[in-house]
Amino acid sequence: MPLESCMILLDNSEYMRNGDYIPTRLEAQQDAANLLVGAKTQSHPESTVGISAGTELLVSPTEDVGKILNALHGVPLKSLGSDVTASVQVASLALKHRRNKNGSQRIVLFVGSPLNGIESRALQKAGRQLKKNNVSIDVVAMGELEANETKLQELVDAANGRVIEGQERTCHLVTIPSGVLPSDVLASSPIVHGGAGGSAFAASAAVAAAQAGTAGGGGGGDGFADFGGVDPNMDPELAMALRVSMEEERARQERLAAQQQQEQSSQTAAASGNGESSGDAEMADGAVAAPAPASAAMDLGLSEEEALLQQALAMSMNENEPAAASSAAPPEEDDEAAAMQLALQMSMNAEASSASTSEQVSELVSSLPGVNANDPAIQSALKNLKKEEKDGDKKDGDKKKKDDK
Amino acid sequence: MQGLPHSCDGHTHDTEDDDLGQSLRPQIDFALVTCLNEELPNAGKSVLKLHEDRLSPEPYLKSNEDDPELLLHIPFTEAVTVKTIALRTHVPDGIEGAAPRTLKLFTNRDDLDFDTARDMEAQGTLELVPPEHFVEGTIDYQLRPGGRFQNISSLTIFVQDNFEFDNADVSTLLSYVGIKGRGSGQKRMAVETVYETRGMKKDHKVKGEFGAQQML
Repeated sequence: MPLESCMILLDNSEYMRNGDYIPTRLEAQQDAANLLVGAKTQSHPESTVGISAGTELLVSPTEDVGKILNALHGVPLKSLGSDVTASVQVASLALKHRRNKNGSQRIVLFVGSPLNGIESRALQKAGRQLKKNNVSIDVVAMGELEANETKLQELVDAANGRVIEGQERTCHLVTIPSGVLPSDVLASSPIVHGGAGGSAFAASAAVAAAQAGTAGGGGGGDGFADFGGVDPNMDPELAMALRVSMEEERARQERLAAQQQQEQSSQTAAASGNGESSGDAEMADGAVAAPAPASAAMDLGLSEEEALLQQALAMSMNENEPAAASSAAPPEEDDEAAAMQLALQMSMNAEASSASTSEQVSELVSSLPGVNANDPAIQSALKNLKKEEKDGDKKDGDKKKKDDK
Repeated sequence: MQGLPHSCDGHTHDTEDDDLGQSLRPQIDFALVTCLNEELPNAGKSVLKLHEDRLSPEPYLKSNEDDPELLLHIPFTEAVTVKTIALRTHVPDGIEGAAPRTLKLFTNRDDLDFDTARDMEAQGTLELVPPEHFVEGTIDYQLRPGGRFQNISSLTIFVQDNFEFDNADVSTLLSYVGIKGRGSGQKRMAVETVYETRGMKKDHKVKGEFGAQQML
């Protein structure tokens, strides 16, 4: 990211007491602002950042990170709603009088309260003023999403001006769904990445619950994509936390995809699987980081017990093609293994056999406590069960399994 | 269009075609040319064309819709004296644009924005000729008072309004901007130095009076 002077506009209205982000919107906002300050000051040694809360300027653009963070954490809540246009004007004034006139100017606006008193025309005019003075603006929308969506989108569009195809936009709007940690979303958004390949990240991160794509997991611009865009040397704890949450996200999406395949094939096992799938859907809607206690515990518990349970199942069902092979695979290869298994399973399902034994077994499997019937490993075992019955061969599964282990 | 009286010791005019000055385009620092309120990015840069291309209709510089103001900042790579500015506006068919009317010129300021430009007193102002009077070619405007534009390092042109001020605001359109004057050859550069922790004798030979070589 080149030399840049940035003003971070915080929302400190009473709406920020809301607990839909953990622990409150205000704290989540401070956390995200923290991340931004770090990212911007580290990307270029002369970049400056300033803080303002509503229309009150707390810190004018400076390189002193200590001063910035000090001001960031002492922000009180005010009862008045924030006037976005006025705060943006104050911020551009602060930027105009910055010490180092070399870099580009940018405003990052956090919005966590409804913009009821502001017309979209006023916002468009503000956006055009920003464009005229060559100030880029990034908007982070937290809470009150439906009400503010259109207005904020208009603000960002006006500030972008005429967008030429193939060129990056300078202004971005990042929406953070409820319950998700804003800093997680921001870390992979174009706001922190400075626009390089960010749009794919932002889309997948923001809509993490709905999408089953793997776009969010792969394709990192830096080498730090695994760690969520944070240098592991600089902040190892944060990097590890981000990495763990991203892997959990990947595993969860994988399960979602597997579960969708299951529903498509419309096996009878899906009947009992549906009970689990609604549970899965709840987990999907919940946060990546937010600890919905039961389902999260189940997630973590599954990942550890999975391997053992699968082995026990496979052995008890006396089949070849061990699920142990997939469970023994290192976690990073889970994606490919699961994808392959799913592909195989799809081809198998096309033939749609309804052998009674397989039904009984799959019901048995789903009735077992703590076992996710939609787990790809178990499904592969089920598929092989059917294959066995078709061929009519009974191989000695035990021996082969022991050889493979 | 007389040249301004100035003392002619130590230099000649024979390198110029006319008294309007040489094209200063080679001395323009294109990487740092900025234009505020341009509709397409880098349009301001593109309008500083070569003299041969001055009559080409494209590319052109157009301000955003409903806003006639433009702020074009032109830094130079060395100290120059600007004598005239050549302008041309040719509105292509189908494009809505008007010729600029009033220009304010600022020197040596790289931090201007629209509010400051409107309020500040300019180093020079130009009232441009209405487009009806001159359709083909470019018009050269001499800068007065010329003393203010000697040995400057940057020129900022603020277009305040255009000739369509009666109706709703129409954007301003410029097809060519040419700067003419004289360069001085004085560049602002850091001095290149080499620091040594220990001098190498062979690099520092000094001739002594009797031909002996003294070593520093």
